[in-house]
Amino acid sequence: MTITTDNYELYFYQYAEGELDAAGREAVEAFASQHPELAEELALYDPDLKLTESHIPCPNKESLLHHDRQVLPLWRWVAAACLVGLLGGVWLFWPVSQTPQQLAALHPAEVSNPSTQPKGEADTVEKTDPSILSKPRLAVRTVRKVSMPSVTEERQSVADVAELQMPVEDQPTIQSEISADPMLQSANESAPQLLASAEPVAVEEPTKTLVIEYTDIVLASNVVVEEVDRVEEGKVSTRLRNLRSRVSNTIRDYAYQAYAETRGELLALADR
Amino acid sequence: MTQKEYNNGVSLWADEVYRFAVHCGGGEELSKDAVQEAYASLWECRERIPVEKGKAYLLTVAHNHLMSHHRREQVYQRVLPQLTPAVSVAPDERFDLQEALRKAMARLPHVQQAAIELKDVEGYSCREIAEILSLTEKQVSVYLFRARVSLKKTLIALGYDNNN
Repeated sequence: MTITTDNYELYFYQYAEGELDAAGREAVEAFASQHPELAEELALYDPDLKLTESHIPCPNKESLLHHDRQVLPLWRWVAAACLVGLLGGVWLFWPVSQTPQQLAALHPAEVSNPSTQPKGEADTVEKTDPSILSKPRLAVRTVRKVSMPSVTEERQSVADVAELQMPVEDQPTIQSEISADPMLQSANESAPQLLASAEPVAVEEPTKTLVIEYTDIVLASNVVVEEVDRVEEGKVSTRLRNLRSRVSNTIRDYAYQAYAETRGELLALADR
Repeated sequence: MTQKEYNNGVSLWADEVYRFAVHCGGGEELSKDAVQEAYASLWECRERIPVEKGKAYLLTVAHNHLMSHHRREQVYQRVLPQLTPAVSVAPDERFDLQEALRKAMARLPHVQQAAIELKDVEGYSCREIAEILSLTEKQVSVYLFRARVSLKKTLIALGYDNNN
């Protein structure tokens, strides 16, 4: 260990802190005796002269924290919008139907035996069937009823209903969308079997009806729900957006169709 | 270091890092900036920094921030000793050693301030201080020696002796 005027501070520090062995201490003392001007520094070194801890709180410490951001994923908003639209559509077309007892009370003379109802007309004259509601992929079939004044006009009105029902082939927009989507396609194919499995309910009272089917709406919404299940959190696929607009458009189309047909029939009745 | 450990680190170390910055001549605003930068850097690098090294990392970043600021203010630093009012304590005033030490500390070079702060207040060894300040262990020993001698000289000039 060679102490020089260039490195003496290191050895003075180690000496004052008691980090040197006996030989080292002797070397430092010998150097200090040879350099009294530097020895003054060693004498000034006070290892006990220490700062003590003081408490200085850091301001705005909370701003340094990092938390997970609680942001509701966009796909949930989309799903909620679809659900609201679907519920709105169902509410719009939900029938204000009367029970058979109420109908009988209102029109006792016109109530006929259900067994006498022509078989071919049963499919077109329906009201909400609880057994249909229990089927997950089957639409709610509802009826808007317009009471007719006489039995003689009943058969004519039933014939009108058959004409009023818009066949699927006449709905090019919906049909093309269904055929473009494999999931809708498969659902659409299974819809007739599901519809056939539902027991039609005959209406005893002669009524003029407008049959509104929600099959496509419900099937489309099922596809939306399945799609939402697959969408990763926080992301919304283009396909989901398209499905959402498809549901909205379908509801709008049906609403317009129901309005136009009901209005037309009411005008026709007014003319009579 | 996980997010939870990082947030625990804010609770545990923020005051100490801020105090270190203040005592190293940071001042309130510069010290807040140093703490912000230190934690921002820790958050960025949290995946490669173990918890036990967290505080040392924060002190390193804070010190580097202070040093870079002081380097930018080099012109001001050159005239600082002339602008800094002389440390004085009224003769009849009760001698507060810690207050006098803090005032004397303000006249030390920043690297010596940091070394003393880390040694006395934070309790780090010379090897750890060398790591934090990016120095060698010998350099830290020399800075500590010079700092303590300077402090003692200033205190003696103020009328302090060991009997007080």
